[in-house]
Amino acid sequence: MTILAMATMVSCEDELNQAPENSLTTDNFFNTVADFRLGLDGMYAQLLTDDDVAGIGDTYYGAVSLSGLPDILSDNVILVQSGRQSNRNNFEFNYTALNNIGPFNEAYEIINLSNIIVERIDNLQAGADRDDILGQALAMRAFAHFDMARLYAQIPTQDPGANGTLGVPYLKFEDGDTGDPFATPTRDTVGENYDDIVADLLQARGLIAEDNGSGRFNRNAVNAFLSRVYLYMGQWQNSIDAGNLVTTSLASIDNYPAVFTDESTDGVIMLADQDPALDNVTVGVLWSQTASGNVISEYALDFEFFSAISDDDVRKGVLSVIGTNNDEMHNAINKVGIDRNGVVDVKLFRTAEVFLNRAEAQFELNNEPAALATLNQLRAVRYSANAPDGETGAALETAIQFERRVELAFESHRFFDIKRRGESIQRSNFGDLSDGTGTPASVSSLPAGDFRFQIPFPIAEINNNPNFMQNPGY
Amino acid sequence: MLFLMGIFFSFAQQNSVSGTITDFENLPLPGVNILVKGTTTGTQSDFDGNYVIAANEGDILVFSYLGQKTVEITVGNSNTIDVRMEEDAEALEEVVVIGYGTKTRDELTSAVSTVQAEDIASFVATTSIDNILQGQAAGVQVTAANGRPGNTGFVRVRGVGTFNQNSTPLYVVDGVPVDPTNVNQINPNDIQNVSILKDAATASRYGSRAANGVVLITTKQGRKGDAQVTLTQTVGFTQRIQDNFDIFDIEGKLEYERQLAELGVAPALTLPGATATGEDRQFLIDNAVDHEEELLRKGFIQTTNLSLSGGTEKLSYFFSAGYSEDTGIVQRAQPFRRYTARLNTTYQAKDWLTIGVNANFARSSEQRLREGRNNVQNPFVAPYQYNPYNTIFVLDDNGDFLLDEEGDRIFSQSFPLAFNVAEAIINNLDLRTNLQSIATGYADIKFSENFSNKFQIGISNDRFNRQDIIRPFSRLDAFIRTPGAPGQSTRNGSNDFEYNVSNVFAFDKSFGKSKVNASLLFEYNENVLDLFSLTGEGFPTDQLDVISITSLPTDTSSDRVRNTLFSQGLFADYNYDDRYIVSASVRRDGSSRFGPSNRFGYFGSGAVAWNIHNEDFLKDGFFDALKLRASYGTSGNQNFGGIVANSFNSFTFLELLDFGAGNGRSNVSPAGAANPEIKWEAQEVLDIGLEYAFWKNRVRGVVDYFQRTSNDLLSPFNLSGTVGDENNQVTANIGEVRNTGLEFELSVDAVQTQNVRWTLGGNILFIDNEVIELVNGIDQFRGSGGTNRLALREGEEVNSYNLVRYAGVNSQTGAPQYFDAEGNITETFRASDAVVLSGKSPNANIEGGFFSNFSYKGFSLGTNFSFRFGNYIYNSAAQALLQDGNGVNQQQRTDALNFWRNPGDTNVLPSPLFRNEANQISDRFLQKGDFIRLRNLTLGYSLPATFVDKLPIQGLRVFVQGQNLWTFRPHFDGDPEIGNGSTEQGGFQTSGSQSLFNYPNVQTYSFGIEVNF
Repeated sequence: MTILAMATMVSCEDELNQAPENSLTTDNFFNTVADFRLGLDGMYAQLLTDDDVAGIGDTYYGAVSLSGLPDILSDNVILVQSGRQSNRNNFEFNYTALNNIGPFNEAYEIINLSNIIVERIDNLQAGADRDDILGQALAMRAFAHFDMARLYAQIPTQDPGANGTLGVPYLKFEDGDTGDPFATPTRDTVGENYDDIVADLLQARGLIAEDNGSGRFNRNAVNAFLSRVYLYMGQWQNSIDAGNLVTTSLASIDNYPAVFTDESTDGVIMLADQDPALDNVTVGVLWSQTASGNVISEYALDFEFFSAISDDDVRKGVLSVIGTNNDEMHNAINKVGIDRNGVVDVKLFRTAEVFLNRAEAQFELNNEPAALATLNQLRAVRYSANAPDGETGAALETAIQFERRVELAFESHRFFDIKRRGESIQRSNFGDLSDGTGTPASVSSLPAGDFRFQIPFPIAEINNNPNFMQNPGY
Repeated sequence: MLFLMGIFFSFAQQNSVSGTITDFENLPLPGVNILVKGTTTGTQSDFDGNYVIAANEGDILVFSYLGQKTVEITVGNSNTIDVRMEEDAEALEEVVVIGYGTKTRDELTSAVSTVQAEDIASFVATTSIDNILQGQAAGVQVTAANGRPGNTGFVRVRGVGTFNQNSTPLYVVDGVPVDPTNVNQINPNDIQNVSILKDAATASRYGSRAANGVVLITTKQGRKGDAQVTLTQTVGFTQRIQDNFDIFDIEGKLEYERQLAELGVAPALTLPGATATGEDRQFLIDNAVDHEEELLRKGFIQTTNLSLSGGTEKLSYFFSAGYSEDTGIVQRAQPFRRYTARLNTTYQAKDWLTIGVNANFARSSEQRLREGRNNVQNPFVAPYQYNPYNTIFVLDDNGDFLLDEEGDRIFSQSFPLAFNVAEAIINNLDLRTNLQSIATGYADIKFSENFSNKFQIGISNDRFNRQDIIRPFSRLDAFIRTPGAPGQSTRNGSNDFEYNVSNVFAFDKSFGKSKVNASLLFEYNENVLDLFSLTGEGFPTDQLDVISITSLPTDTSSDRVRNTLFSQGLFADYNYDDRYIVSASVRRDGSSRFGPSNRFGYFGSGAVAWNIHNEDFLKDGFFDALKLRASYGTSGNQNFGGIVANSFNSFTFLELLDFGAGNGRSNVSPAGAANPEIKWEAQEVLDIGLEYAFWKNRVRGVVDYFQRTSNDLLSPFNLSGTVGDENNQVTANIGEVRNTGLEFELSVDAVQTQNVRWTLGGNILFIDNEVIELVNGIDQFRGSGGTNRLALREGEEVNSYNLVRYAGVNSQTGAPQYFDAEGNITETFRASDAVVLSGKSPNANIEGGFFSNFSYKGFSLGTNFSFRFGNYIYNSAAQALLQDGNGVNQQQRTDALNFWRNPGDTNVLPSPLFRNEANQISDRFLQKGDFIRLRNLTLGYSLPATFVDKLPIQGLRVFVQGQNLWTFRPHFDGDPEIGNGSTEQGGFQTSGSQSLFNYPNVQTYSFGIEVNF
């Protein structure tokens, strides 16, 4: 009996070889075009992912981080006292390295996956598919690095010395930066970051397909992205040239409201898209929640900003509606799916931005007539009547920035636009209620040059990576 | 009626013999088995040593009792037979269950603590075995995870040696390993004894899973004789342990708001305290709510147990059935219920073959609350956050309840009640059931006097089912609803199946004064975990909430994880004359959790013991026992990954892909970084112990010194975020940690007379723990969300706090001050100024318990204390209630008013004008967790035999019991017995490191009655 038992048990040793039921290893995958395309979609999905496994609260465009911060850290909104007061810390510029406010981890997950694709691209035969896949991987690698650089580091045009300050680690398989989970990279400079971004985008532009379906980079998106990057770098002509290659037309005045309810894609170049039921990522939940007929606003549109927008401007109604919470009325944020718990696609690139980039670049090149003409092309499809016209000089510059603020509010721009232009954040003294009364912002300004324009890296990164330098002031 | 029956019975028993049984000191001896030889007629003596048995003249009565010499007396013509029993020196020796066998105390070379059924009896009202262990054995620390009914506690043997699953020991029930979270499914009334293997000499026999100690639970078996029936019923109530601080009443809160508004604190300006005057203010005062009363309640508990046991020469049986219920202390929530059943049998089939089966079934059900959340979805946060003027229900202008069309009160939904937890408890249900079975079957074969073999198969199966319902008309649904698909339901569950096959071939032989025994072990263990989850949205009706009627399936997942462990072991002992004992063990384990190159681990131990009391020079001397022993050995740990295993965390050595979907398209992304080098964690334990007993065994004690060194510690290793791992962590062997300790156990039978018995005792552990080495000497920080609030640093205690140091209030300006990293005072809070606080960690330096058991005739009074000193707890609850003005729109503590007002003010809180700089996580709220707690107080009374004899029963005992009645907590605000602070731990990941409104521990008051038939 013992011998029988022993014999049985010796064969048990084979049972020690177990394999996961749900998964394959990276090295056994990425062999076919279909495999690689799944990997590309894995990168895009990361933009909205909200898998808060270890309590790491950062999401990328899914909720707070890049969907909310650029407006909360600016003059577009005011904290509503009767809301849940979430993000108050950020609104009052009171973040520290302990508040992990940026999407540092999520962005580097995209970068990691893009490098996995770049590393294995030779598993595919040369051809259009391989080119397009590599192009998309490079574009996304640039995209994630760009977001990190503009959030955590200075922007080249922000300060004359900006290019020499520390940026973020730009990780490329080609440079041997990947493959070691225990790696502890150092920060590159801002100048190096933007050069790498441009290099990846220029390479991507030569490879990528013209159309890749919704939710993915294509040639138009790469060009729109380049026009933005060059604007951030102060390379005005390059920005204009890249923008000129974009073939998507502006959204019409009739279609404009439907763009933000996801019923139209007029003038949209690239989305982070989702299935409202299956993914159900509440991109706009940080602005307000609606329940039992009450709109519980967390932030309302700043009253001064609201008042400055013409009633003939189609964007005014898109930006805000009156939200009533019990007896209180607020200029509630309408643009990000107020009627659907904030479950909307994220607009990453729209043609309107390309026009505004162009107008600004033309102005910087002292070509005021061209700048005004570009701006008027946009105004023509935004104002139903009485569109402003004819500005020159400083008034024109102000007009370009005002149209940009109105057009791109709640699309991850305002904070970066103030920041890259080296301006101060100055909030109005109006209160949180719909008529401008109520409680005003308790912190009303952030002066140009303040260290808080560069958000802190998570303390964990500083502790886990001895080579990583924290931003000054934290 | 009972009384009449009693008369009838006593009348009917004409041929009965009765008497009193006493021990050698003439003290009454309860529980003695009395059997009429050659028949199945039998009984037991009652609590006063009295017995009655039906027997005729000429019958032979056999009196037997563990530790006493068996007495046989022939019935003569007298109806009274009093018996005085004598100690049987050999039989008295306690049999100690150790890994894969038993030993007597004399034979043991290892530090093993035992808890017997009698010790457990006074805890009958508790529902879980781990609570029972608290304070009972030196070096065994038990902390309630929280006060949730049916929850298991954290059991730690000799400090923090490993980092996974809160250093839980391996539980083995009747030879079958059982998941720690399922130990609470075992009915405490079924337990015969518990052995805790603390050092390598015995724990090494369990090899790769024994690094945190081993808890062996043995359940009851029937004894030869007539069926013994025991019925126990307890009822009682539970309540929250009161805080040692006060929160504002309505007038206090309004005044606080007024004062802050006067200072110009922005969020206060629009609050009622600032705006409401006259009638409005009076309205708020008149209709103020005590949220503790609105949301919490006194819980009701009851347990019912029935056991039936007995046996013949060849067969024994123990059957039990139990029911327990605990409503918990949250109003509107459904109760925790548990049903258990057990049948243990043994049968001696042949002279050489004994077979047996132990089977246990348990089913429990409960409504789980969101007690781990740090927001008002948690019913224990809400009473501390809702203002007294925030009514649970909507009021009309007269202060009367507004009613809806159906005449029901309407739940209020204004801030901070924007989420009304009272409504959520009713409409957002998280219902869970577990069905657990543990069964073992074995065959014990005796080939000859020297050779035997035991083959055992054990299975443990836990079937878990959860239904999470967000009803379509609920407030939460309004927030998260997919347009057109109201309501949401999730059905998920798991089936955790573990089977264990072992075979022990043993050799036993005596040569003169020498005894040798050796065992050869083969063991195979397989764990198969199946998981599934389904979510659907869109209910066509609000009268049903099952997932099958939803219109939109939104999430599906499943997983299956198989882990295997295959082991061989050889254990040997040599015993010379019961004086010198040497034992050794070696075990080889192979585990599927490691890569092919690191799959096998070898563990071994060696131990010696010297029974000095058996030496001639001590025989018949002062000592009844005096033993010196020493052991050294290794054990391992292969548990890592999450609490719930899945395909990703079970295969750390592979770089895996995660297949997902977005916008309806499939996609793939890396599941996380891999560590192909991962290997066994090895632990070395050195133990030197001295056991003693003297004064006729009335003083008994143990002293142990130990050093426990964990090498190649398995722990999450922090990665740079740039690597792109989802959690920025990979499990790795990160270094070495050492626990050094000194343990004392002592109990004294202070008084032992005919009527009075008084036993006193206690245990205490002094323990020191230190990180010896880390990979490359680099600090490892811990804490979710990248907050890094706990640190591993060479030379410091494990999980030392890493916090910015608070430097008090600037007495001139009222601003909060901090020390920067260099120790200079600054008014700027910077996370980078956090330092590792030497000597401040969640680990206690001193812990233990003490007890007193006093009895006088039928009365008994037992008290049991446990204590802990030297640990620190981050008190997030205190911080939440003293927010320096940031929390003015929520409830706060009354001492929040004690803020800086004028230059020169000292010993004050920061001025609310600096609320943002002040309301930060620093060591300001790091508090010492010292406590002494009266764990248990039981007053019992056994009915005297003279009275019981008139009833058709053998014994009756009634008792009242209180638990957690009194706590001494000199430093801590709130309850310092902290298990889990919160699932939203804000960076404090280790149990006991943070207090944050989890389900509070409760006080229990109960009444019970135990009847023996």
